[in-house]
Amino acid sequence: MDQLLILALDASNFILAIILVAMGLVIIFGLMNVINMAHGEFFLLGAYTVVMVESAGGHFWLGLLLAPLFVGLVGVVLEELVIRHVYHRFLDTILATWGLSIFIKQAVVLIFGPASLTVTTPITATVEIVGAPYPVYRLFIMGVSLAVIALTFWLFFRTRFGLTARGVIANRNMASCLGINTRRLDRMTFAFGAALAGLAGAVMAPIMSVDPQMGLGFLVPAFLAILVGGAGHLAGTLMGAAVIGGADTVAANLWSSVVAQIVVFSMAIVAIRLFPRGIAGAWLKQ
Amino acid sequence: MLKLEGVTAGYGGGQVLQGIDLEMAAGTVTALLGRNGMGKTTLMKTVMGLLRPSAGRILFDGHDLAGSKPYEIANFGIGYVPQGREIFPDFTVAENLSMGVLGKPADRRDIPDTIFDSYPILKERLDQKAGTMSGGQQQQLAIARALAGRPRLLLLDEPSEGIQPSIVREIAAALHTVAARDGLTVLVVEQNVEMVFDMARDCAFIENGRVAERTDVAALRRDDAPLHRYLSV
Repeated sequence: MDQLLILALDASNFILAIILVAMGLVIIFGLMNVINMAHGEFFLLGAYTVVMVESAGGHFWLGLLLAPLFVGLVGVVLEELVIRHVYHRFLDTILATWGLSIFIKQAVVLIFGPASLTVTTPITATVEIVGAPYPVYRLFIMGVSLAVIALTFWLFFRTRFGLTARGVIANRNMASCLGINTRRLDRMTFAFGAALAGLAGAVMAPIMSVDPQMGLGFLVPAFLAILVGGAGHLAGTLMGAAVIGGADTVAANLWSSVVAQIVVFSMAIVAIRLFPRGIAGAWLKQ
Repeated sequence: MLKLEGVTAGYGGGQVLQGIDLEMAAGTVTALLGRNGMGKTTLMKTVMGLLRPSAGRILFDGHDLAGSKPYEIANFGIGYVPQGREIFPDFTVAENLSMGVLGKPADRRDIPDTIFDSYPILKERLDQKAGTMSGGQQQQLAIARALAGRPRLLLLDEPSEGIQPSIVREIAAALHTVAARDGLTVLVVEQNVEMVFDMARDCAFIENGRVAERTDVAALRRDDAPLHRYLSV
C-alpha cells in the first residue's frame, strides 16, 4: 500500500512533466500544423539554461525563472528564421524541425561537451509520507506543473487570446478575414509552446542527468501521449500523458526500464488501433 | 470606394479572372451576377486577399490592396461573409461575434448594439453553440459577425444559399436597412434574383472572368434580357 502511494507520486511526477512538453507540441500542431521535432531540444535548452546560470554563479531559482523566457525567445527566433518559411508544406516542417533538433543538440555538445552534468537540487528536504521519506522537491515539481497546466487551460479557454487562438485553429482563413493577425499569433504561440518545454526541462533538471540526449526521453512519450489521447484537444493530451506516463513508471518499477518501453509502445499501438482519433476523440464523440 | 482595374487571378495555372474592371460608389449595393464558374467567388477571395492577383490593381479608398494579407484588408474596413457562411460551429453565438472584433484596434473591440437591433434572434441565443442553429440563423450570425467589425465595405458571397425563401427575404430586408442606415457599401454575389431585386441597386454581370455588362435593378425590372443572357433563367 505504502509502496503503491510512492509509485503513484513518482508516476504523477513523470506524467505532469510529459504534459508540459506535450501541451506545447499540441498547441503548435493545432495552430500552425507543424510537428515540431525540435521540441525535445527546447526541453534540453531549459535544463542547460539552469546549468549556465549555475556555472555563472547564479542560483537555481534564477535559472528556473530564466529558462522559459530564454527558450521562448529561442522559439521566436527559430519561428522567424525557419518555421514561417515552411509551415505551408507539412512534410518540410518535419524535416526542418528535425534539422533544428540536430543543430541544437550538436551546439550543446560543442559548448558543454557530451558528458552528463548535474544541477543542484534546490530543496533537499524530505517529508514523511506513510512512513517513508519523500523528496519535497518532487512535490514542488508537481505543484509547478499543475499551476502551469491550469494557467494554460485558463489562457486558452478563458481569455481573449485563447478565443482568438482557438478561432485560428478552427478556421485559419476565416479568422484572418475577420482581421486577426495570424502571423503574430503564430509567433506568440510557438514561443509559448517552446517556453513550456523550457520550463519542463529546467524544473526536471535536478532529478535527472543533464546531457545532450535528454530531450528525446520526453519527446517520444509526449508524442505517444498525443497520439493516444487525440491531437485535437488539450484534454486529450492530459489523458494520453496519464496513460503513457503511468504505464511507463509502473512497468519500470515492477520490471525494468527496457520492459517499460516495450509495455508503453505495445499499449500505444493497441490504443491507437482501438481509438484512431485518440481517447478524447472517442470519448467526446459519444 | 472600391475600384478594380484589370484584375487577373486564379488557382494554380488557370486564370479565372481575366482582367476585371469594376467600380463601386460609396453607399451603393451592387449585385454580382453570373453563371457558376464565371469567377464570382474568385473575385471575392481576391479582394479579400485570400488569392493574390497576378495582375491589376484593387483600390479601396485610393489604397491598393493587391498583395496585402486578409487580416490587413479586413482592418482597412472590409467585412467578408463567405460562401457556406464559415461560422465557428463549436463556438457560442457570443464567441462568434467576438471573433469579428478581436483583431480590431482596442477602441473597436466591443460589439455594437445596433447589431442586435438588426438581428434580435442572436441576442436571444448568445450562449447557444452556433453549429446547432438553423441555416438561416447561421447566415444571420455570419453577417452580424462581419458587421461587428464596423466595415465600410461588405462582401457577401451567396447569402441565400441553402436557406428557405421566407428567411431569405428577411435577411435581404435586414441588410437593406443596415446598408441604408450606416451608409454601408455592399458587393453581393447572388443567384437568387428576388434577393437581388430586394436589396441591390446596381448589377454587374460577369462572364468568362470579365465584367460583361453593368446595369441597375430599375432597368432590369423593365427589361430582364440580361438575366436570360448571363444567367440562363
